[in-house]
Amino acid sequence: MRICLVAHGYPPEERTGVETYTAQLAASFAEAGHDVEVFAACPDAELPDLALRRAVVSTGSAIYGVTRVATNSTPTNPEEVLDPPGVAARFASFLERERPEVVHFQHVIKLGLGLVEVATKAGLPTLYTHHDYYGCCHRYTFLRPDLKVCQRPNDSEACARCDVALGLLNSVEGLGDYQMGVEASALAPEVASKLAGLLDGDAVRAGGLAEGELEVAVERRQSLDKHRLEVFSTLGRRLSPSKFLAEKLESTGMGPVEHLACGIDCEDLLPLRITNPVSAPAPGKPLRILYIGSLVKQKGVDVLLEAFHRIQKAPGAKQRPRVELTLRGYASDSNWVSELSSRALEVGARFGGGYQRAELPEILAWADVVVVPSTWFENYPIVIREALAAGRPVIASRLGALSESVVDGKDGLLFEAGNSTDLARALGRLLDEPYLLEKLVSGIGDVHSVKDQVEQLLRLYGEQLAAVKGENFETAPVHMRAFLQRCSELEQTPSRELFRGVLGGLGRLADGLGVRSEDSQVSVVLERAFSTGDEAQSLLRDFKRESSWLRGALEGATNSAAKQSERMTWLEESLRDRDATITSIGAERDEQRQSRVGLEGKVEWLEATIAGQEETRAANDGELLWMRETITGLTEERDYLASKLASLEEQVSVLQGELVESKAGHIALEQLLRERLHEVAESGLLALRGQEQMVTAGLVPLFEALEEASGVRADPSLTTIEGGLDNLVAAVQEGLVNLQHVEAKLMTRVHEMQALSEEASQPMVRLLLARTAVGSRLSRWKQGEFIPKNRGTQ
Amino acid sequence: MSAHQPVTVVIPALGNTELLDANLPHLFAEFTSRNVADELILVDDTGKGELAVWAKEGLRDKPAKLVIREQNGGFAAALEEGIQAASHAQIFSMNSDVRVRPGFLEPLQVALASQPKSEIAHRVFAAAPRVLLNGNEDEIESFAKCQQLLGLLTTRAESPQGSLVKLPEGNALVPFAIGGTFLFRKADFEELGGFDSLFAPFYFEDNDLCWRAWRQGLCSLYVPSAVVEHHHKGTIGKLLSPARRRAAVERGELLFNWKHLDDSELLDHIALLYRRTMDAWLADDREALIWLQLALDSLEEACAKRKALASSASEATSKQIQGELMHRP
Repeated sequence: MRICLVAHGYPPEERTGVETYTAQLAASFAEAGHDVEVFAACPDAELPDLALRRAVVSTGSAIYGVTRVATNSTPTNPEEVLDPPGVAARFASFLERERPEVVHFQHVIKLGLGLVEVATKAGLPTLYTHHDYYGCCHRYTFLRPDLKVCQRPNDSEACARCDVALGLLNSVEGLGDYQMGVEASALAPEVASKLAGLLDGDAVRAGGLAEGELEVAVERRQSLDKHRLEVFSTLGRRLSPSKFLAEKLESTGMGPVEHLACGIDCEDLLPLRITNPVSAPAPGKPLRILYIGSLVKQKGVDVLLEAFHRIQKAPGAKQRPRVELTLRGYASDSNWVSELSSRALEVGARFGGGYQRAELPEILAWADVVVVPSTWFENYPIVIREALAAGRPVIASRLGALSESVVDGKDGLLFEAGNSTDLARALGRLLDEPYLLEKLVSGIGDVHSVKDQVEQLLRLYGEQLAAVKGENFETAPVHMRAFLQRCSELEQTPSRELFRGVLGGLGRLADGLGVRSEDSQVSVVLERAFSTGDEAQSLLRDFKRESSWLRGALEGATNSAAKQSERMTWLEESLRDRDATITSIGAERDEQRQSRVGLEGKVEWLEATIAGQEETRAANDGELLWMRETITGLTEERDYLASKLASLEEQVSVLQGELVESKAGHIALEQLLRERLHEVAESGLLALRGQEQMVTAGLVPLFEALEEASGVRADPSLTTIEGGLDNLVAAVQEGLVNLQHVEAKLMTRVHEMQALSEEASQPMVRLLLARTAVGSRLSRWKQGEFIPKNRGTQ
Repeated sequence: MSAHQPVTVVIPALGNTELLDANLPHLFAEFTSRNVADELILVDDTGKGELAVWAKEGLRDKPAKLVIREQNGGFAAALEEGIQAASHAQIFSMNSDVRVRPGFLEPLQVALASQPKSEIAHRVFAAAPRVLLNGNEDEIESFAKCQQLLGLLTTRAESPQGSLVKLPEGNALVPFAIGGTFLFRKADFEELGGFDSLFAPFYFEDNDLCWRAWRQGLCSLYVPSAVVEHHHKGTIGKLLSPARRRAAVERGELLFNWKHLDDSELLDHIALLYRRTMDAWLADDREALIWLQLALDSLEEACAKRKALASSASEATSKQIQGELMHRP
């Protein structure tokens, strides 16, 4: 069977769990007689980005190919993290050449989901073994950037907060390899607070987020999660070495995930159970504790160092057997490793550095117990299998999938993740409980080997292959079937095999045609000569890609030159336009200069005008002062005239009253007189005559009253009776006439008073009018609206 | 030989009766017009006798016979079986998607009887009509050329679009009669051994037959005054992808070369193939490798047949034939 394995790295460049497992699987398949081609990411600064390099790996009887793609570009956004540009196309060309029958993905981080899409599109059976949480967490660990375990799986908002929080860490300098996260204690308090605020959704503490930043991040993460789910849903088979991970993956809705334990290559470790059995600690025989694995933060090595320190400093430590701790492993986070090594030195632990797989038996032979203090969920750590295979119990965190790998009290012990006190307690039990270590060793069972797994996987591959609907030749006419079938076979043949087959065939053809027959090995020679290895082919592909790029660049440059030429033409036209504009502007400038001269004259005139206006204003100020004084005088005059008018009006009123009373008295008196005179004349003339004396005496008061009333002395002649009545009538009539004269005089006086009043009121009116006109003028002048007479606007 | 001899027209057919309904009336009309007892032999190549029912009506009262093959064998095998059943000495082979135009047979018969103007050919083996692609007057697919250069003998249609090339207006020598649509003598066909199964399932069997004839002094003649239309509605196009049709063509050409390439060209040919292989490998051109491998699958048979042909010392070389064709009228 032609099997393609895909991994995000490969030994010797990468030697952590998945890479090591993939290499063991490839070798085992090859040893079993299958054709294996591995496709792996491998940054290589010496090569062009995305260059492919195939190497033949030979381990014992196993020979297989490993094609590395130079993933030199760094993703610039979450989309590129999920699908690095160009890698899928390179994988497609790899599949086209190698023609695997089945593709088994181990990991596609750094390679991209596009690889799964390419394989699916090619109609190939696909399987994916999930080695971590990549299928349901874009950080593949369920660890937040503050290294706390995520409590909100399948929540795009929580994932988006991780993105934004990581962006915050990006802006903090001196964090070392912070991509997986940084503990709050390693951050400045304000940064730690903001980080926690971002991750916990505390807007106040998070503060400073650009408007809509989180919404955009959520939308983007939703889209990416959806894409990831769709791609993983298309896989033919999804496998997980742990049930814990399988459940997490299934919770996304990607479909069933089968639990299938990974096998490891442990043939070199099994003999240790006999040759180097674990012995219980005793005086003179220390308890040897080993850590092997990646030295990254989430592996909890710092917790182990603290636990080791606690054991040594614990009361009664001197009465216990000694403890020794060795750390072995690789790391990319130099800051973190530096911290660990310093701490190891402080607490007396041995920091052994990295190791080759071949050294593992020796490393494990030294140890009594292996500690796996991870602070993340883990999945199926190979180191646990390796330790158990070598007969070494494992002390592991009680977290995630780890409790599936270590059975507490049977083949190891579990402790609370991240709790150095609890780890120290567990290790202390090994020192204090005489038979515990022995019991744990005896509890170790068989370890699933890679050979066992090869058989399981081949069965799965076979099932997947059987499910693929092959080409149906039965519908074609009989005479075509053989040809079609042969075409199909050759189309499925790897290019390398085709090449070899054709070269061999050409040798036979040359023989058959009689061209030469002496050297039957020519084809072998030719093959060697032609295929100076895959290197020549790879270089040619690179050159093709490069020349393609150069062609593109040339086309771009040509287009750019054409555009530049167009732009030049445009610029020349533009220049001409601008020349014309400059000429026009020059003319305008001259006009403006002339205008400026005119304006300067105008300015002078305006300045003179302003001076004049200022003078006028000064004069006006004087005038204003004078007018104010005038107004004051006029006001006083007005007040005087008003009081005088009031007095006169009062007099007029009195006189009018008097006049009215006089008129009324006059009329009443006239009426009375007429009535009395007529009565006296008619009825008592004789009596009156007889009583001349008495009447005469009686008339005196009357005359006096008349005199008093009319102011006219009665005629003395009236004192005689003879002719006295006529005289009296005449005197009364004369008195009436006099009264009329008095009335006329009074009226004349009234008119005079009125005239005088009117005359008095006119200056006051003028004064008021004058004041109003002056006020209005002043107001306008102050508001700048003053317009000099006879000038108008310029 | 009289131009009015009767002719047996042989048509290998699969199950497409619509083509027969559309095209046979034109053929029978020609038979009627000629009135010389021409006959049709329709070969049922379905392997299931599927045409039998149709033939009861379709061939009723027609000068036609139905030959039913027990197993599908392709155009060449079916044609051979039809030829064996032919009553007349002259055979016109044609595809079921060919529609004849009135008067097409007579010029072919005249040409077949003519004396070729050739130094190496003494008789006409095949007379090929002007085959109009899809009935278009300016798309002629039956005028072929050949070239033996740099270790490769190629025989291809001059141009499917006649407008690009000035084709002769009169009869002209051609390397082969394209498309299996040509008039020939049954005796010549049998003497040549018929089609070579090396080229099965299809393509290049007509090139090979005519080239073998050429090598024995029997030429092929293009007769533009005889006109048929080829509507390309046959089976191969429906069943095979363009890539696989191309593979069959390339394979056929290589086998044709291995049979007929002059000895003097073989070294260049082998070098050329190595070069092709190298180029294909370096350029990830898998198809070229597949073509080579398909031909190499039959290399022993091809080499054996080459040796059998070479045993006749009097045969013309490919270079001679090419020289003859370069000076064709």
